[in-house]
Amino acid sequence: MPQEVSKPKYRELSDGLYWTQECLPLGTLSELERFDLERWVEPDEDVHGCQNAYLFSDERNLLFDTLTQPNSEHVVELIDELLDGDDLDYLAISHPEANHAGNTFTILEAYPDATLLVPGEAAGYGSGHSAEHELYHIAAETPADVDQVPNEIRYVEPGDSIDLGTHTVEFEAPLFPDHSFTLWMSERTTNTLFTVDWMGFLHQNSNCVKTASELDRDVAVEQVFRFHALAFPWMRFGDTDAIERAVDDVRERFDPDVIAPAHGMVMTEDLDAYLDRFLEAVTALSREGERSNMESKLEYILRPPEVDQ
Amino acid sequence: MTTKLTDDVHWISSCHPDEEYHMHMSEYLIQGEDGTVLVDSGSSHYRDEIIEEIDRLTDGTGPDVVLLTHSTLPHTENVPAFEAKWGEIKTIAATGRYPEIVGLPNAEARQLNRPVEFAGRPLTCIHPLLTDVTVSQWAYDHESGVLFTAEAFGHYHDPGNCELTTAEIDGGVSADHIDDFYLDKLPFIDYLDREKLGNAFEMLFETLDVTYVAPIHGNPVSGEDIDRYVADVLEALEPPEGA
Repeated sequence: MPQEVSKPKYRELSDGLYWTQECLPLGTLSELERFDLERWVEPDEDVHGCQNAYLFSDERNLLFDTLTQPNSEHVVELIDELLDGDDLDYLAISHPEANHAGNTFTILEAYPDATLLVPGEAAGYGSGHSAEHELYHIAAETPADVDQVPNEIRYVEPGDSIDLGTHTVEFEAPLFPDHSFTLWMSERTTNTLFTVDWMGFLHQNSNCVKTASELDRDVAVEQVFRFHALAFPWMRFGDTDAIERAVDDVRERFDPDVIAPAHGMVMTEDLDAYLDRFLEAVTALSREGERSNMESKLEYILRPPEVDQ
Repeated sequence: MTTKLTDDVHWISSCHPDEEYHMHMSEYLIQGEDGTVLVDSGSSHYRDEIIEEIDRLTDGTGPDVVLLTHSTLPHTENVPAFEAKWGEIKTIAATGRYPEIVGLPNAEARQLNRPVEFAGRPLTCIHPLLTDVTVSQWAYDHESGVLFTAEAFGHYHDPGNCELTTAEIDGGVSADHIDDFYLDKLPFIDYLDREKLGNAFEMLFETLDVTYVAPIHGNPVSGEDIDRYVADVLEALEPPEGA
């Protein structure tokens, strides 16, 4: 099976809000081996990871994240198609990782009047080092001198909002970040919470760019488990009580109608059930970090028989 | 600036200054049986000095392998410049699949949990016990006993301590510098179970004979300092009052 990032697919989630998705074939369950928490994929069925970006087409247009560099040739034509010839006004970057921001300069070059919105404060406690530096040098072809990029670059922080016309987006402090310069985003009219790396899950090749409630089968805890094991390695050592309190915070403070992650399917109904599934997954994941499990794992990993120490 | 950590492991470091303190952006050059392995490529801010040092250490041939601890910046961004200077270099990404989506279209995917020979040198790459993004790995050099890490084991340092290992710093690494680094770089620390993580660190260092922990963003931690250092890390993970 060819291991290639797919060309982006898209759909309109609600009036003027587009979901674009590229898929990463990961092979079949037998290739992925060893997990059996719950059956959710047939033996000959391909499993996909995915990368999402979201586009608001409104009086002012905004793209949240950029898809990845293998689609650099397609991303601008996709934006052009969805905006029907309109200009892009804002490119917002969730965090300066290449899979989220790798086409930044390709897009800025195509839309020189677009304003680049990037996290100006760390997701953690401090301002940290090098936020600007990391973003500016993330593109495949970094401009020789970023000062010469004609686009306005604006640093945004939790609480900053952008009025797009019908929609208003607001940047949010993430409750579950991986990278220290990560911002979530919310949108008021649709009550959508864009959770970036959090709340992603793997999907079957028959289910690309479908909302969670449209999938041809239920989302299994294992799908959620596998994704978070990959994207949030620290959750092995997670304090499940603290994580549950943060999920309660999401329910109470944001109470979203839509959860739109960067690496999973958009959830539009029964969000509490998906949040519960995440908690089940993280509980299972945290068991991996317990002493007995880590002992056998580290022994296996670090004392390979072919090395005589 | 280069410091010899062991007979055949060189620490190449640049310091990124802030208003109060410095942060290392380090690379390590391992002299293998059949060539050299460079761990991380460093920051473009210090590209010229890094290339100059590597050129000097490799007698103008450049590294044979670049092994990345992170597939994010600033760990990766000098790879194209190295290839422009020395020609094509075997580069190992810190991701098991699709190195192209992390901006490394010519890199090879990593292999974890077993020794792989790079330039004749067996190194085992593992999932980090503690890191930020998933596209990261630690590497253990079986011959020297050096464990290369990012982002855990990072810390800031005072001006004047740039070229020292932790054992050479008067009074050791400041716990505040460890604390500040973790707060800045690992934004999820309030969710960590310190006991679980502490146990895992303990098992790691019981299993491996580590001469140095060699972080990308900190002074190398010498073997005799590891226990105290880990205790400081676990202390740093305690949420600050009022958080």
